[in-house]
Amino acid sequence: MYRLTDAQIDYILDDIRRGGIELEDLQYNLLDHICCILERDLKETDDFEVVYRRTIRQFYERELCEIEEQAIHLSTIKNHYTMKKIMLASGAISAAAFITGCIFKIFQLPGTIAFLFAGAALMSLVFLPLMGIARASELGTRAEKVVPLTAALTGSLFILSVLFAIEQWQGRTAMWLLTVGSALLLLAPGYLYAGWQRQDRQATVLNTIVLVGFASALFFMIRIH
Amino acid sequence: MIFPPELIKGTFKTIVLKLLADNKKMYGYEITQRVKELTLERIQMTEGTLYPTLHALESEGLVTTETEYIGKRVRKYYSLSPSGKAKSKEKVKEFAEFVATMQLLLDTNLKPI
Repeated sequence: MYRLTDAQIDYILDDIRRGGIELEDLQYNLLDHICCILERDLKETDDFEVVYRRTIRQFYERELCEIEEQAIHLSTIKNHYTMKKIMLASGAISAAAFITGCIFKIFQLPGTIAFLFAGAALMSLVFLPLMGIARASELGTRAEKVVPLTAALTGSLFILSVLFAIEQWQGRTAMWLLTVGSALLLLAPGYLYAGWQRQDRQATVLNTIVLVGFASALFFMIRIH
Repeated sequence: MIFPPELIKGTFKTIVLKLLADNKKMYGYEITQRVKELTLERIQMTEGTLYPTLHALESEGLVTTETEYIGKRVRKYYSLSPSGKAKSKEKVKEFAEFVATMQLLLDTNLKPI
């Protein structure tokens, strides 16, 4: 049986690391696995580099790092479902709190603010962030992931801004500016960029630009008059 | 005939848990070879499938690990934890019921390989 040298083992480990495997545990598992195959298949007359390249190529379809991505995906999928359950529960509770708060407000009952505050806090600090994270984890590219995350941030800021405005709390203007800033500087460019990257969405992006431009122009003209 | 990956995709955890239940401890390469041997190479558990599965089982607390140093290499052995033993029985039972149901549905008489 062929015995790999320490230099060859170091070479394989470096190559695994260069291939994008960052989990140390996985690096050593793959190293041992490749070494087992090489020691089984290599003959003294074989070219180590050629046999090694042929062996490692069988481990993946596109890139070696997809093994790590799959490992992370499989071990976080349970957390993903738990996160979605918490997200749905917080959404239902915050909606119920909002509705109760509104009914209390109509009948001018005490405790209105407590219900509205609980609803807004739960919606903006739990439901929307979890929804953004859950949606982002289901999407493929980094550009696509930015959209739900910035949308959740903008949505959270918007709800908090409304709450600040209704209750006339200090800092409400700053909250509105933050919301508009987040929408204009983060969400809109992210949405347009991610949409433009996909050919099937380019028409939707163009429609959005035209509609938003038209609506903005309309508001601007009404303001002038 | 090698079974297509889409047919066996949902069975990897069950396969690994059952193998670990039948063998005290195993390492990655050994598992792939055992699967090949037992299935007469009809099921091929690739490295890209095996290690993510083992990683997931470890993070769920279903397997425990111990390492052995072989020169500059580190070999990681996997064995079932108490909850893994229970899970293994549950998964095997679930899969047996699935096969029986498919048999009813497709009206076939399964013959051994």
